[in-house]
Amino acid sequence: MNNRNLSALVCGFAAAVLTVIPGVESFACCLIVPIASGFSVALFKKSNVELNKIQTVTGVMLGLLTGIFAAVFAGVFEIILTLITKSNDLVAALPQTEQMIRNMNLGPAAEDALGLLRQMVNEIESTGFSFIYSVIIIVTNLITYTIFGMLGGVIGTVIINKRNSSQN
Amino acid sequence: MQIATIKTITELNQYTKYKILIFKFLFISLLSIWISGLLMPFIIDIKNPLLSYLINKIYSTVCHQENFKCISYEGHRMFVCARCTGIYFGAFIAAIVELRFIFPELPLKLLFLSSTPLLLDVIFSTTGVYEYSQIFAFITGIIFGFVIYLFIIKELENFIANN
Repeated sequence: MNNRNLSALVCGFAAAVLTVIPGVESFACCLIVPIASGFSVALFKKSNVELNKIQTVTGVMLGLLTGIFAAVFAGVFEIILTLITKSNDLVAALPQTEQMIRNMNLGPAAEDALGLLRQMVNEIESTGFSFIYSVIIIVTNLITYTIFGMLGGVIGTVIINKRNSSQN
Repeated sequence: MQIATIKTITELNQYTKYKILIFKFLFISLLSIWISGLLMPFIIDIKNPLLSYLINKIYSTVCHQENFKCISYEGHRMFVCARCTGIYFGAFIAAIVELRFIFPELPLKLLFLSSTPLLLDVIFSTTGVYEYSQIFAFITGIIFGFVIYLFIIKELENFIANN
């Protein structure tokens, strides 16, 4: 595994671990993945001492990889937690959603959508695993973490290059 | 190793200027989509529970969404907390301002200075020095978002200009 993949893997894994710790998520909020990407760029620079300047593309790619690793690991962690506890945010929120739909009388389309949610909840409560839920988790994680990861990669590149140029 | 010299905006040819402008509009469009998504509970009544769940899930991956930290109006709660909302709005304001004014190369100190109020607010409100305030969180988020956007766009602008 080359340096780029390794630093992204390490930081992506760390970010994924942090996202499942409730207190930390509340503390760092939307900055966990960008900060992890920044660290990934820093690690890459540390392992390539001869590099004078990190290219923006390299920063973006490192951020993207960190985001992908974070998304996959965070998804796997959530699936495992759901498998163990047979409960998650969807299970907890369904009764409230059902009540809201009944009160608002939203019609057959809303009932169909609710049916799908109910199916997911039933699967989770009985076996601890729902394929549709797992896909939703991985896809939503991939969308947001890769974007935030790339932005973090750009910021990491800026910080490291500016610090380097001021030291030289 | 040869290091490419960074061209200033005045040295660029017309074609590159257009490329940068198109890129900025693309960036603003994506930012607008993201912001309108988080404002959705205020704009329209999402009647499909699955769609509502999916949008909420997308934003939940980047925000803790604690109820008392989210801005709400007439029973509708935003998909992200006040601090995150501030960051995105700050970035959006910077994007609009940046279209009109050319900012010079920003010192790194500014990035740390802009993140200091946000960090202090997080630390103080979490440790109980003072109670969490949505207004404080929103304002510190705006400052941070504004500056961070300028850093990101400057770096990408330089990249486009030199490639």
